[in-house]
Amino acid sequence: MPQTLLDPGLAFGELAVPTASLDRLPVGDQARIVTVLGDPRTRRRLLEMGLCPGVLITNVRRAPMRDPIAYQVRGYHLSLRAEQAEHVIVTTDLSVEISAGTHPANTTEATAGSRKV
Amino acid sequence: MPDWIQHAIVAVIVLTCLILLIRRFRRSPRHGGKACDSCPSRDRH
Amino acid sequence: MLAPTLPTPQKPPPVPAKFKMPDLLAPPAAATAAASSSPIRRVALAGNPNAGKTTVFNALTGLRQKVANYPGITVEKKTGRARLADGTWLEVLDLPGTYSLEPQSPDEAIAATILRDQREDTPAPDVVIAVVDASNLARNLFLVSQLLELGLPIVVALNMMDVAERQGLTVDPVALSEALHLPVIPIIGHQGKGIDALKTAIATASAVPPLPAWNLPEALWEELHRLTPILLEHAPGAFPETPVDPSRTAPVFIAARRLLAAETGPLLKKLHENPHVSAALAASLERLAALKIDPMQADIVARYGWIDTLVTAAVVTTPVAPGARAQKRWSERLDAVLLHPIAGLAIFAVVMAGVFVTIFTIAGPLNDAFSDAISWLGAVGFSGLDGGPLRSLLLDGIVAGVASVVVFVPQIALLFLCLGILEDSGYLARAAFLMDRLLAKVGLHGKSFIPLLSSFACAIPGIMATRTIDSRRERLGTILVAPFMSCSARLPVYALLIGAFFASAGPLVQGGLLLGCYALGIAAAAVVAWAFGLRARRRGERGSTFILELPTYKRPQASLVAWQVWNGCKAFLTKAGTTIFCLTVLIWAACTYPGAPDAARTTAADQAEQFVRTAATAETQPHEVDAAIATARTNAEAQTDLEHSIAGRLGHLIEPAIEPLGFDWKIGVGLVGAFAAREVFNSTLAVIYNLGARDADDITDLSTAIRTDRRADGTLIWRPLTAVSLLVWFVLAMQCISTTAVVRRETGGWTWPMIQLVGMNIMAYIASLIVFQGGRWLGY
Repeated sequence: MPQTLLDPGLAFGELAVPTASLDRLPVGDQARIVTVLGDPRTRRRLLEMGLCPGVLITNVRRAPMRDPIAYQVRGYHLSLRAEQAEHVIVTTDLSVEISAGTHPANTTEATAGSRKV
Repeated sequence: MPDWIQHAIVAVIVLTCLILLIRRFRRSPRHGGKACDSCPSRDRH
Repeated sequence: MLAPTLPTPQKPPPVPAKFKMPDLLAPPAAATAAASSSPIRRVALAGNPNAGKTTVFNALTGLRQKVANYPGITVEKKTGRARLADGTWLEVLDLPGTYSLEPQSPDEAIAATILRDQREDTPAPDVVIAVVDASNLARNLFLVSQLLELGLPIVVALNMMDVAERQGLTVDPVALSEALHLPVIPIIGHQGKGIDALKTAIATASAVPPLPAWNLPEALWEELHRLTPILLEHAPGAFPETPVDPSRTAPVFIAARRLLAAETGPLLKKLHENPHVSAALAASLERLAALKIDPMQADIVARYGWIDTLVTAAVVTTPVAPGARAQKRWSERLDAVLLHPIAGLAIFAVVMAGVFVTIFTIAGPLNDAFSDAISWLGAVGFSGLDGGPLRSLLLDGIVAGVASVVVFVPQIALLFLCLGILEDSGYLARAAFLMDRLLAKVGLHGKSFIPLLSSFACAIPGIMATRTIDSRRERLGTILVAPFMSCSARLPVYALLIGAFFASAGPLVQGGLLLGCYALGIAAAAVVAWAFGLRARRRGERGSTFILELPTYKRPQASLVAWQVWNGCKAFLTKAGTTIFCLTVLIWAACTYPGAPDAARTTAADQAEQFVRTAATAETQPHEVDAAIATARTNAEAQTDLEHSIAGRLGHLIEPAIEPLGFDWKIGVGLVGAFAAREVFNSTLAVIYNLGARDADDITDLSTAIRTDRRADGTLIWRPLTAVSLLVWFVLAMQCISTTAVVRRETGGWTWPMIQLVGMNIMAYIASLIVFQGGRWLGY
């Protein structure tokens, strides 16, 4: 399971799907979760809180000194530290279909030209 | 009130307070629950 | 080996797998038979933190509650009794709030192990009450999806219906109930609505719900089929037979799923130790990894897929009533300002400062009124008794001593009022959000905020509240610095010192000084926490997960805040009436016995007379001089008696040690008493000064007394700098036996409480020393 961060704007393989880590999502913007990285415990808790691939998430606010960040997801408010939000990879291209089973390992390859991840 | 009665009453009060205090402080740590039952407890768990 | 209802592994289903769990609906006879065997039903409240479990618990049990500890772990066990309509009783257990039955903190582990019947001291309940927050339905239902696998009857208490409505969400309990196959009772916990219906539902709950169907990937489904027979064959002892499910298929299936999803627990640990099981498991995981399937993720995602269908069926977004919509807009507008990076912090500082200035502005005059009333009471009430030890005990000891603490009820009440309003309105949660980064910088946790904030009222519940912090190091750090948060017991001391010496400077200065005391405590806490975390940070330990929810803003409920103020004052007065009362009596005794020998008294009296004579000028009238002499002689005799008492001797003994801090022996006695309870400092001084001025019938005003107290040579004992030095001492010193006892219990040993006790007091000593000597050097 890759633990490294993806650079903002880096496409998945040959896909033109811009992605970034959640902490880089600007305030007020909405994004779709692509995948959740991180150590097993953090990953599990993030997923359990509803941050699953395919879900919409909005950055509502940042705290002073930019951390933690308040999000709206599945209809409720949740706040995460930047270092936790880093583990969540999102895309601002809301038209992309993302299957809920998108595994971190999936994200290093993609079918050329396809819009499905 | 003759002096010796006063002293006696005082002694009784003082001893009672001493005993009450010792009991109160001994009770706290052994009790499974709140150590200080006169503390304003607000359930914030 | 497999029950007939499961498809056989050789024939993978052609359609995307939708696994159907064996139906666990028990035949009614068996289930009700089990229920009627015990007269008292045991129920447990499970749910997310902040879902309102405690409110439901309180509504069910009223005052019939008991708080204990789970043996072997420092988590609170709350039990209570509730009466049903038919007169029978329920035993209610309030489980710690948890987001998932896969625990990530000691709290959550308790909830999980009890529900799975894995704790010897607490068996699983007969019925589980799942408290679900209607305004956060999706996430709350995640836990419910796990509760459904326990094989226990469940009743869903759909709480916070009012909050959901305000957000424009209407949850249909009937639709939800049909989808879940569970009774769903809508309630509004904090208003007590729906509790009766809930009780009825609990009384009649007996059916074990069927397991829901959710979508797992085909390959995962296949692996489950592979693992289940292996578990049955090689680890049959791990799965007890139940009358409901003699083939044990369901629990085995669930265990297989949990193993694949990398969950933890006593049962799974045992299974892992079985070589056949672990080999099969490893093979399964390998196969899944090759297919890029993560079973943990697939499992969680599948649950949420099921949850989404539930939510779609049961939740309707209604056009929000104009009033509610306006409220929501206000909420968002407020947050935009209050959580603004710069403005937010500034506002927070101003709000806190405002609270403190208010305390002095309003409480000041109230204090004086209290004081006068008590003096009058003392004069009138005891005029019958003539001079003697009993009168002294009652007046100089009890009334004076206890009064010196009780007069500060206005301050206490105001403090709780302000805190209550801030908390109830939802503002404090925002403060936690703002403070999280600051706390993280010193190695503490966002979750440390609430315990530390509680410590401003009393460190004991604050320290107990640290149980929600996952990381042991962060929890220990929070416990160690909690006493630095100036607790409400210090407030009478602060108020006395600040009021006595800075009243003339006005409420702004006074409020500022008080703020300074609290700020000093926080600064000290930051330093200690940071130092404590150094060792760990060098080792590269990571902080734990911080996930905090922001509740919606609401107008603080007057009744709730009033209840908090009442509670706080009641606790304060109770403590005053009991612990402080007893301590004051003892201190009075220590200050009275044994009295001075006559010779000493005469010498002192003569000295005082001399002093008065030399001070008299040519213009002083003879009768004035005589009156002055009489007073001086009495006072001198009283002082001598005082100095020869146990307390006096003790005070003189330690005086050399505390003189560099600006303290005299009387203060020394006060400090010793304060170790039992900080407020006792006030009562000790009151006793001393009343005993030392055995003149009129009225009770000496303590503020005036300490301001005007002089040594034998006429110099003032106290100066403003003394008060400041003393304030610094009280901010930093660890003086509360009860807190030390709790720290011992929560850390499981004497090491840390002793380190805390000794360390903090050394810190206090050095700080007071620096302040006093430094101040003297600067010319104060």
